[in-house]
Amino acid sequence: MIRNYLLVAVKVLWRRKFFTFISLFGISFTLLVLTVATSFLDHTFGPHAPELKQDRMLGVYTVRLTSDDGSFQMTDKPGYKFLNEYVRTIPSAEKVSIFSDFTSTATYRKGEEVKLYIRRTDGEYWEILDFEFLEGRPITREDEQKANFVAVINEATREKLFNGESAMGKSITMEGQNFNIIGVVKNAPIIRMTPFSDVWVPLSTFKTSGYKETFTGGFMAAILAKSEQDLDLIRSDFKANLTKVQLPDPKKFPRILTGADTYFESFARNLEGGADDPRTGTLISILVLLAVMFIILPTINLVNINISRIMERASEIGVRKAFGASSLTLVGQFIVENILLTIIGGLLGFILSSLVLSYINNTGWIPYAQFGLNYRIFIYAFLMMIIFGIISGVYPAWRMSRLHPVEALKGGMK
Amino acid sequence: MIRHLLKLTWNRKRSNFLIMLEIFFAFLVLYVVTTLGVFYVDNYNKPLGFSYENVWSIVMDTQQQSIAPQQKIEKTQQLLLALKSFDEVEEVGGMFILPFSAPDYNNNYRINGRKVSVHINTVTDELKDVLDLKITRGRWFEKSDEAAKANLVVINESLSKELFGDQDPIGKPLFEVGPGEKEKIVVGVIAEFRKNGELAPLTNYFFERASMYDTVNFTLPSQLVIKLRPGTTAQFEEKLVTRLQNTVGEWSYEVESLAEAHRSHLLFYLTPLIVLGIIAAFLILGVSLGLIGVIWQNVTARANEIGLRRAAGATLTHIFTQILLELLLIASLGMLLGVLLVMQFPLLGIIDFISAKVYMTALVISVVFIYLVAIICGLYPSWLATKVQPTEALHAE
Amino acid sequence: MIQLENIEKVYRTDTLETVALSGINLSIRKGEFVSIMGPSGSGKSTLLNIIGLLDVATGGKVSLNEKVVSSHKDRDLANLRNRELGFIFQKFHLINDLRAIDNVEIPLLYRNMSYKERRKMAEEALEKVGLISRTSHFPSQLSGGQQQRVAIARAIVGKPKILLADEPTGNLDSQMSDEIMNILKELNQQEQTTVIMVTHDKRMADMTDRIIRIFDGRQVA
Repeated sequence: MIRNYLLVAVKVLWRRKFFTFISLFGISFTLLVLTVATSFLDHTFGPHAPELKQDRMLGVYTVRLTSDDGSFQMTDKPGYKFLNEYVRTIPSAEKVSIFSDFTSTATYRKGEEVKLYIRRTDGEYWEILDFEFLEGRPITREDEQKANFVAVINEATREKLFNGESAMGKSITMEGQNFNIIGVVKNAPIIRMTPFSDVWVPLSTFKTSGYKETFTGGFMAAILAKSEQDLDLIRSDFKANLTKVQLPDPKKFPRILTGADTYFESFARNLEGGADDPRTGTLISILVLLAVMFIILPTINLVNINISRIMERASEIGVRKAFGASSLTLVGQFIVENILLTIIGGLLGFILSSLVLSYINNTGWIPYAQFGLNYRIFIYAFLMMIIFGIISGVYPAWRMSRLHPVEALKGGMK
Repeated sequence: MIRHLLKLTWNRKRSNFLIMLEIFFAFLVLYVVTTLGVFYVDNYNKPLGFSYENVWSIVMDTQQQSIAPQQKIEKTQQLLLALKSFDEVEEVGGMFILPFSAPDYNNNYRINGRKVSVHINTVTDELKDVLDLKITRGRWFEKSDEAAKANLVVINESLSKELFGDQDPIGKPLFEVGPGEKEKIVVGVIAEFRKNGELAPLTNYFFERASMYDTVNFTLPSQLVIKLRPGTTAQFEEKLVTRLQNTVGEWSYEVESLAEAHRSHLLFYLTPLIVLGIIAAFLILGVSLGLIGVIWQNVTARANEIGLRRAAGATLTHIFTQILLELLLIASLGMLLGVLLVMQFPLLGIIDFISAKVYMTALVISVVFIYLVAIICGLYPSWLATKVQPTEALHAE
Repeated sequence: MIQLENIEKVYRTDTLETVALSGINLSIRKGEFVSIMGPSGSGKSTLLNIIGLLDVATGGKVSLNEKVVSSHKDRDLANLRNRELGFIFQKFHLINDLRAIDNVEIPLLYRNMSYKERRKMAEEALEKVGLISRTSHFPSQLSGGQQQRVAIARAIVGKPKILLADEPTGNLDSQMSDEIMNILKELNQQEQTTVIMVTHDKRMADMTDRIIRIFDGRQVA
């Protein structure tokens, strides 16, 4: 039975090449955009090295100081002092790392400027994140305590500075400071706020110790929980700590808004602009709304083409109905056709996506981004494809089942 | 004829509805992209107001060290001397917010009962020569202004028009200030200063005078801009940074050419347009192909009607125009909905930095473009309609 | 009024040559009511289409009002169909999405006429077929006989001198058929309209002035 359906479907699709082409074009292009977008989201929020323990990681990415009525606000990265006093002391955390935001700097190779991003970290940073080391070792707690002038660089920097040869034992000079290179790690993309940088050096190598006195600006913290269940405990411990907080300017800014967030929640928090708790619901709704807005046009297009495909065969349907085929059989045939189209279009879309993604990777549009396709993206895209197929097939199928044999024979349809 | 077709199209609204809906969404997508494009083109055609060729910026990071103003001024003076000692450096100026940089400082003032949004920068006397600013009226800041009692400001023409209309703003207070504050007196007008580059909209802008010496008001800028002799290469940067490091070692310095910043800033503005444009182009291509298919099928299904019209005396041109006109009518109905919807934006002033002119231009372009797409999609099916043989179409089976 | 000389119609494909009509000579005078009879496939509809300038003969000459029209271009043929001829079909061929009056005004669309004039003439035509009370009905709301009367109104709205009817009663019962025939006869007698009707119903043919019989593409009587 199914075999017969399939054979007929292939024949019909082959006979009407133009309609088949338009349908495939619509399906594969829609899937292409959805897959690229999903890959982008997965790359931004999914668990990728070096953030393998993402499911038990939280971060403190921003603080917002506001006046009582909220009319004056100051939003910034947290400062070292704030993180050291109120985050480092969270009792339920397994590990806490404080590190600077990445900043732009430069080194010079034979008079040529090489632009680099630099980040200053403690030792815990390297224990929480699972960087893949191509050679050498990470910065340790001891390096930080002794203010050793050591640096870890990424693969791209090794390529730029040493033509990809081993960087061990070599040194790098930035802002008049000279660091010994002790390790080389794989690149992390710029859209991952915690691991991204070109060069990492210990916090204690700041030119002055002024950073230790700052309440806001320039730093972030990563918190590792013992288990996923502890995340809420960490959040409430942090809230408790915040009740004791000594604000730098309590007259002007008596309130502080911050929290320990997952990376996804931190985006939601930025979006909300001032909520006490990040509401990821809004962010998810916006993403879904965008997807729907985008899908609606190709869907209507496909519905139109499907109706045309049916109407084209209206007289054929009429004959079949006249000979006793039930509406159900006809709708079944149509649905098999539609599923076949969706699957072929989906596969095409997937092939196109991998081409486009590798093109985006090669252009270096987003530094160190390596967009790829994995099973998570495959499942999401497949789900979307099915929904797409169903939506674009249901209405035409309904119209088809209501097609009156006599009217259908006339080839007309009102 | 139009009236007849309008009735026909209207009476077929059920089967035409989906095509209308499709045109409606295609129009919306196109409109969003065109608005952005027209907005950029409109902005691009206005003068930038300054020159960024051979200008480098130096961001001085004091490493968050608490430092007394007196000391900071002294150290900055040392750096200025060091910079001026280079043959390659023609002029050094200072400013709080660099061109093409992300930070912004703006304020909403209530002036004569109106809310006016104004962007503010604080700059030194040398900036005019570094960035080659064009003075249109009055004068630029001078060293002797150091002794002035009031806060002297230079405004751009947009702000002058906004606040003073056709009157001469020179010597007038910018706006009333609160008690105890220094008055802001306009000394000059510059043509334009568009910090965010040529793709950003025009803004009301004024400069306050920064002093490299004043320890009381302490307006020392932490960003320097230097004008280089033409022909200075990128290799100069290492020499420059080394000397800065050797002069004040506990600070760090970030040097960038403004031409480079300008390039990446343009890219930052253009990327969304390019991505949106590509997606919209493919969406509309898909819709066009779909339309051809739908109208084609439509013509086949209406062979009877076409044959009848031929028998009633319609020429081939009549038939061709009818099919095309019907599609254009459907497109018009779909777009009518879209136009009614997007007309709300300028009326409600939802995005107020986009002018009504840009909205309307984008509207006209989108409408014309959708008509063009409809015509192109309709050509082949309309031609097919003229190939319908009336004898066959009317045959009694 | 209508003159056919040695009309031949041959359908050619790569391998096959089918003769639909050959050696037809026919002269129809103004005001005549003529029927064309013959079994199915005999070529009677093809003949009507050639007379109606919808089809082009592969040989011979067609004259209308003493002018040879067989070599006219599409534009001129369309103009002649529009002004001189009116068509009635077995299956009515009304446009389902248009009301009766909008169906009737179709031939007038192809003349330069104002909306008001068109409405007036369409109403007159509907009045003649006795359907003035049904002007705003859609075809699906009318009976078969009424639909054919709307089709006749459409055929006569432009005041043509010749009416061409292809099995006008083929889809109707006998009572409705008689109604339609009466209208045609009335038009023929009162307005001096020439009527040429294809039929295979002997009863209908007998009601006309003259019967032309076609068999296998040839005129037999």
